[in-house]
Amino acid sequence: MSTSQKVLLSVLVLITVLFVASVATGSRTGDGGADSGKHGPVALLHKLTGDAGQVPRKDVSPSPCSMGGDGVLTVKGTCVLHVAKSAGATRQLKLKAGGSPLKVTAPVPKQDYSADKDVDAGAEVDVAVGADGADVTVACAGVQQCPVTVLEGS
Amino acid sequence: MGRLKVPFFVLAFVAILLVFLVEVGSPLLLGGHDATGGLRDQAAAVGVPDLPPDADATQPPGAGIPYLALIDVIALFTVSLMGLGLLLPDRLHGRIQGVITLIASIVLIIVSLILLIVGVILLLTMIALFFAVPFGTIAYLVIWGFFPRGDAAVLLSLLMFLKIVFAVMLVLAQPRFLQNKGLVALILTSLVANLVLAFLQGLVPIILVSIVDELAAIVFAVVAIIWGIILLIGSIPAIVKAARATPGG
Repeated sequence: MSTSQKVLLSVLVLITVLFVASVATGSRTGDGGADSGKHGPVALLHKLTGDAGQVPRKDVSPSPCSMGGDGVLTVKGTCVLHVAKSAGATRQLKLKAGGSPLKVTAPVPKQDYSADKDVDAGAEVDVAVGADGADVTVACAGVQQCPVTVLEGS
Repeated sequence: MGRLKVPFFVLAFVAILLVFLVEVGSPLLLGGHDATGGLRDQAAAVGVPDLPPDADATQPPGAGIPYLALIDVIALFTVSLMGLGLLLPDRLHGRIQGVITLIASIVLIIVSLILLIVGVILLLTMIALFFAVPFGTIAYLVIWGFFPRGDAAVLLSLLMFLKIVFAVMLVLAQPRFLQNKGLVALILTSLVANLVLAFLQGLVPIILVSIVDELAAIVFAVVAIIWGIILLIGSIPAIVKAARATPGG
């Protein structure tokens, strides 16, 4: 066996051993949880690619409440925010609760059902909206009237 | 060194053909199983405990293994071209080899480029949805959150075995194949791609495997484009030689 053949055989054995090790240790990383993606390669990818584009205020049509120039909505009971269609992919509607908690109901992108999210007073929530747009319902929790701000990227 | 041992060469061809077919057919073999139980657990973990009753999830097939076919089709093409040399007269084989390689490389580059763009769009969508807690995360979990890592590992092991069989049979058929640096580099690329995919699929928790699998798919498309360019450049001297050898050419 020549030197080049020995080298190639060694490389073949090394690749096989590394492959077996990769497959054998693969199941140790588990199913994942709430903090998945905050560290490691996916976090790095997220850092490189950034978040989805933000929905501009001009694409949001609230009903029956109205939006002020600073993006503040005064919600009396409930208000539906109609987000217009977009040419791009998924976008994010960023909302911030005022002095009282909220309940946000929005369709899950690419699915035919909705989900709810309770938002604490003063907290922010990102609502993913598909290219087809969506109707996002904001409801005051425990109070008759509550301010909500539609945030816009700087 | 002697002549080409045809039975070993045929076995090598069958092995690489099986590799290609398994990779292309892998979306039919992987995924499709119900993962609704896992969806409810993960949705609760991201702060959405009350999913609608009709919310369900199935395992995705993944893109990494099918994209491996972009690399392995080059090995299949190379061996097929060698096999053609056994069936056709040398003169005719020499003339058509360059043209076939040129056409095949252009097709490979175009297909890989399209799949690269599709892969990048899909990866960006996955990341955007996953990090848009909670509504986007639920959508991500429903579509891509439950990668069949165990099944994929079995399939990758089968592919690794077939690729090693292919390499060994090729050397047994004609030890001089080892002097063909391009062929050796191509086989090593294929084996390393297999290893990288297995490594990446085991690197992260299951709910994130689809993202790294898509990333690997994008890398494979880029590697296939590079190999396509190498083939394209390599085919030009053969075409020029064939044109000069043609009467009146």
